[in-house]
Order: sequence, then structure tokens, then C-alpha cells
Amino acid sequence: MTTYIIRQSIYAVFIIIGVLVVTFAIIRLLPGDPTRLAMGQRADVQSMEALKREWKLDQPIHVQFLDFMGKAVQGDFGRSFSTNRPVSEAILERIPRTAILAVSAMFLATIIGILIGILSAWKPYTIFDNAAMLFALLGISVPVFVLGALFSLIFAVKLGWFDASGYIEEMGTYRFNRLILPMAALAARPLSIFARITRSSMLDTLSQDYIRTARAKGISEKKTVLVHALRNALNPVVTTVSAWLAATLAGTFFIEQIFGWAGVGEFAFNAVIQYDFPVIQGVVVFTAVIFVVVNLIVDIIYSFLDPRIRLG
Amino acid sequence: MPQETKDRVQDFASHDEEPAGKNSHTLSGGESQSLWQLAWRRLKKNRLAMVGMWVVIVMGVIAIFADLIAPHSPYRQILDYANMTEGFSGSVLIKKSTGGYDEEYIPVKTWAIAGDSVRYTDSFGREQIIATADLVGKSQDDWYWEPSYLLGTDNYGRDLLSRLIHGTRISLSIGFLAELIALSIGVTFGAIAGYFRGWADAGIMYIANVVWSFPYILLVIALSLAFGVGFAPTFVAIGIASWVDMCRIVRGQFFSLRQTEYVEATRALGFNSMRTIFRHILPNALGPITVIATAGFAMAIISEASLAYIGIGIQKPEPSWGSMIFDARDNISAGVNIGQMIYPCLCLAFAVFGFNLFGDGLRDAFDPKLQK
Repeated sequence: MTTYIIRQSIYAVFIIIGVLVVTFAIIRLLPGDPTRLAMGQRADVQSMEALKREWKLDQPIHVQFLDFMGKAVQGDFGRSFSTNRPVSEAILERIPRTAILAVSAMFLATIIGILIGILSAWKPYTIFDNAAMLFALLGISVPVFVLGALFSLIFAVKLGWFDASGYIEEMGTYRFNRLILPMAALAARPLSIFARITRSSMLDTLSQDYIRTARAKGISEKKTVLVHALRNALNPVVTTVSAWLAATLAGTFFIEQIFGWAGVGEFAFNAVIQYDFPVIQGVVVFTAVIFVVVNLIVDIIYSFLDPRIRLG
Repeated sequence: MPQETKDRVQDFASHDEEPAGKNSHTLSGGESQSLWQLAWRRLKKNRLAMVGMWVVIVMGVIAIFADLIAPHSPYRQILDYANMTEGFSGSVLIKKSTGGYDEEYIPVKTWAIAGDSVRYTDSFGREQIIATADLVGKSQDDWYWEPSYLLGTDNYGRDLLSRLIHGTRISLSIGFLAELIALSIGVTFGAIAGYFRGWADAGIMYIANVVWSFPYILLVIALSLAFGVGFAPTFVAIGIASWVDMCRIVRGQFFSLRQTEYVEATRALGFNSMRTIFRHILPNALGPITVIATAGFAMAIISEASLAYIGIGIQKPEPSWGSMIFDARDNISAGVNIGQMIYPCLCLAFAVFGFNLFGDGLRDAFDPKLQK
């Protein structure tokens, strides 16, 4: 058990190092002068030289790399060009907001998705199943920014049912009404994926011999499906949900921009538009680390629950 | 896995309505080919998959013949006709190009020929006069035009329908090229990892895990910022970010196919690795590869639109669905026709839906176990 945890943790550290290397490579090794990109076409030579020194761009590449790695390990990604605030400070401030959105969306997606998956698998190829799976495929097909834009247009602008004016905390009061639309738009894709995976996994399990035995024993259909089948069918679902939880924490990019949700995603979106490189770099590394860490934690919890994982 | 492949083929055969004799005939022609024929037969019976296939085909035709199909140029702006709703039709006089400028389109409310000139009221209701010699061509058919806009116009008075049609071309071509890159990288890495295993496998899977750890859309954005904007940087960035799924599937296929008797036979016969990989293993992995490639194509279309939505990627005035949606969002708060946003949204959703329907059908067709 301990060996498994240590092995996985070391691998995760190596993955994070790899993430840092790739990020460094993308930002520094590719064509184009980063200082020019960062400061725009009208930057004067002096401030560009100053920035070059600050980023150690006048040093050889391996010195630059070690400098970058050293700072990154301490969580230092420099200062934003547009606000001059330290990037990590701004990210930490925004994380709770993104977490509210991402976690509530994932909660919604997990519950409804699994429920639909179970119902579909229980009576496969019925009208409900076919309709649910068609909708699930549609949910996978519609890009998240299209869904967000349509939701905000239809339910906020045209119908006025919901408030789409952004983050729910305003001067100390919470307006959960504002959470509904971004949450629904964000949940649609993972919900569809969970429904599909639950369905196929359940169908697989329901065709197993032990389910036939359970039915033959005269156990009620409800108990057979919900207890005997579901417990075994949930394994692939749990893996997918955890991967999506991590990805959603990182990927509220478009939804936050559309609904004016002042989280990490909106921060990144504005940074991309403004070519604010330290912010992009910081958010990319940060979200990748969250992804790796969340997956590591889920892996470890999972190995407690299912001994086959750590032995296999 | 020839054992499994055989099982599958028998599975196909036993479920098929064709007489057994015909099947055994196709079997002798080579397993991979017959697997394809049987998959096609199975696919044809799947109504939704056929709908998806036709969506893909029709979009492909629209993309290829966009110039012929589009009623207008996607770039032509008539600013007076900005933000018009569906079915709007105008009337313009076309003035000759002067001093290097393009032909000028003069929107008119009323007009009448008066000798060798034309009197007209412009869109502000002012009386104007222009010499026929300044207009394009000789006859009225040449210089008078009633443009009609089936789906209305955008913020610059460009035809929405034509921009959507040309957007199909951009979407599909970038999707195709990006998927081609992802396919090449993914299949190469996956084949090496799955065939040689050991250190090669550990190294490649490490790279794949690193790439997989990045939030996909942020990776695409970062790469695309680094490569620059425009057509080629966009599909290269998407392709480089999207090969991991393919690599995993191909690796898994190679893992199991490598242990089969016929691959062992190629080794016993002394074939080199390249020949074994490309001639004997890869053809048997083509089913899953096709399925993943179709899903990847759909994802690449989404990525292209996402980049254009942010404003990196395909640049204006090129018509990308993503940038059309973004621009329309700005306009809609100003209270103009919502079709500007709805139509590109529908096109994008419809295109991706078509690809996914087709991809799902392919998956079922290649994996008959799921069908039961």
C-alpha cells in the first residue's frame, strides 16, 4: 500500500516536472520575442532590455530554465503585465470562485448523469433510452461556449428568468440565482459523458452471470440493478468523474468569460486576449498541477477501495 | 488478436443475413478487408449512423464547393445593410472601381434612368445622380442588383449564409488537417510504445501523461499563441495537442495484437519490425483508429471554433463559426437580430453532432459485442 502511494506520488512529481518543461518550452523556445509579445509593439528599448534582464533572457537557455524551475517550485510566476500583481496571488484569490462553479456543476452532472445511465441500461433500446442517448450525444457535441452563449441569450437576455451578471458574491450577499446558468452550461458535457459511460458499464455488468444468478434467486429487480449491478458498474464511472472533476476545475475558461464569473478561467481568458504571458503561464501550470494532484488523490483513495488496482 | 478477430468475424457472420458461402468467400480474401465489409454492412443498418454519415458527406461537399454554393462573397460588405434580418432584400447600384478601390455598392431606395445618368435616392433619402458611364458594365443588368439575404446580414452587412458556407470550409479543413497531425503522431507513438514496450513504452507514456495533464483547451491556446495566428498555426497547434487518445488506443491494440500467433509467425519468418508493424499489425487496428479519428475530427472542429471565438486562430475577415459567434454576442447586447448568433451555433453543433453520430455508429459497427 505504502509502496503504491510512494510510487504514484513520485510519478506525479515527474509529471509536474514534465508540465513545467513543456510550459517553458512553449513560452521560451518557440519563435517570437517574448518581451515583444509581452509588452506590445510600442514598447521602448529600455523597458524591453530591463524585462530581458528580469527574465534572464540574456543568459544561456539552461540558466533560464533553472531560473524558471526554481521560481515555479516556489509558486512564483512573475507579475501580470496588465495589473502588475503577482500571478499566483491573483490565482489563489480566484480559486474559491472557480471551485464553487466547478464543484456544483460536477455534482449536478454526476448525480443526473449516473441516474440517466442507470435508467437507460435498465430498459435498453426503449424510447427513454434512445432519447436519453441521443441527447447525451448532443450534449457531447455542443461546444461549451456555444451552450453558454445560447443559455445566456435565451434564459437571461430574452426570457429574463435568470441573472447572468456574474459571480454570486456581491458586497457580502450571495445570489445563487447567478449560479444556475453557468452551472448548467458547464455540467452538460460531463453529464452526457457520465450517462453514456454508466449506461455501457451497466449493460456490461447486467449481462454477467452473477446478475442472472441474482435474478434467478428471486431478488427484486430494483435490488439487483441498484445493489448488485451498480456497485460493480461504477468503477469506470468513478475514474471518469474524477478526471472530469480535475478537468472542470481547470476548464471553466469559456463559461466564466461568458457569464462574467471572476474566477481563474476568466483571468486566463483576459490574459490570452491581452497576451499577458506570465498569467497564461501561471494558469496553465497551476491548473495542470491541480489536475495531477486531484488525480493522484483519487488514485490513492481508489486503491484503498479496490485492491486490484494497487496489486495489478 | 486474431483469435478475437476471428471471433468477431464469426460473430458478424452468424448474425448476418447473407448466406454463409458468401462470407467464407470474403474471408479468404483477407481478414482486414472482410472486417471492413462486414462493418460497413452493420453500419448501413444503423439509421442514426447513416444520418451522421450523410451530414458529414453533405458538409464535405459544401466545404469543397463553397464558392459555387454561396450566393454572395463572404467578404463583401454593404454597411447600409448591416444587421438585417432573414429574407432581407436590397437594391444597389454598382459603381465602377476608381483609383484602385473595389467596386462600390450604392444602396438605393428608388432609382430611375434619366438619359445618360441615373437618379436615385440614397439610404438617407437624399436625391443623387450618377452618370451611367460611372457604373459597371453597359446595361441595367450589369449595374443594378437586388441582393437577397436568406439568413440576413452581419454587423458589416455581409451575407450570413455565405459566411456560414465558407465557415464550413474553414472548419472542416482545419479539423481534417489537425486530425491528420494527431493521427500521425498518435499512431507512430502508440505503435512504438505498444510494439517495443519497455523503455520506449515508459518514455512515450510519460510524454502522453504530461500532455494529458494540461487542460486541453489551455494547451491548444498556449501552442497557438506560440505558433502565431492564421490557418497553418491553428491546425498545427490543435494537432499537436490532440494525439494522446489515439496514442493510447493504438498502444492498447498493439499490446494485444503483438501476442497473437500470426504476429509471432512474422517474427519466425524473420520479417523486420517495420514490416510487421505496418503490414500486419496496423491493418488489424484500423477499426479503433477510425473510430478515434472520427471523434478527434469532431473535437478539432470544436477547438478551431474555440480559438476563433477567443480571437486567436483564424483571423478576420475569414469567416469562422467561432468568431461569428463571438462577434454576434457583442451585437446582441445592442439588440440586433439573434440569427447572427443562432445560425453559427447551430452549424457548429450540427457539424460536431454529425461526426459524433457517425463515430458512434462506426464504434458499434467495429465492435459487435456492444450491439447486443
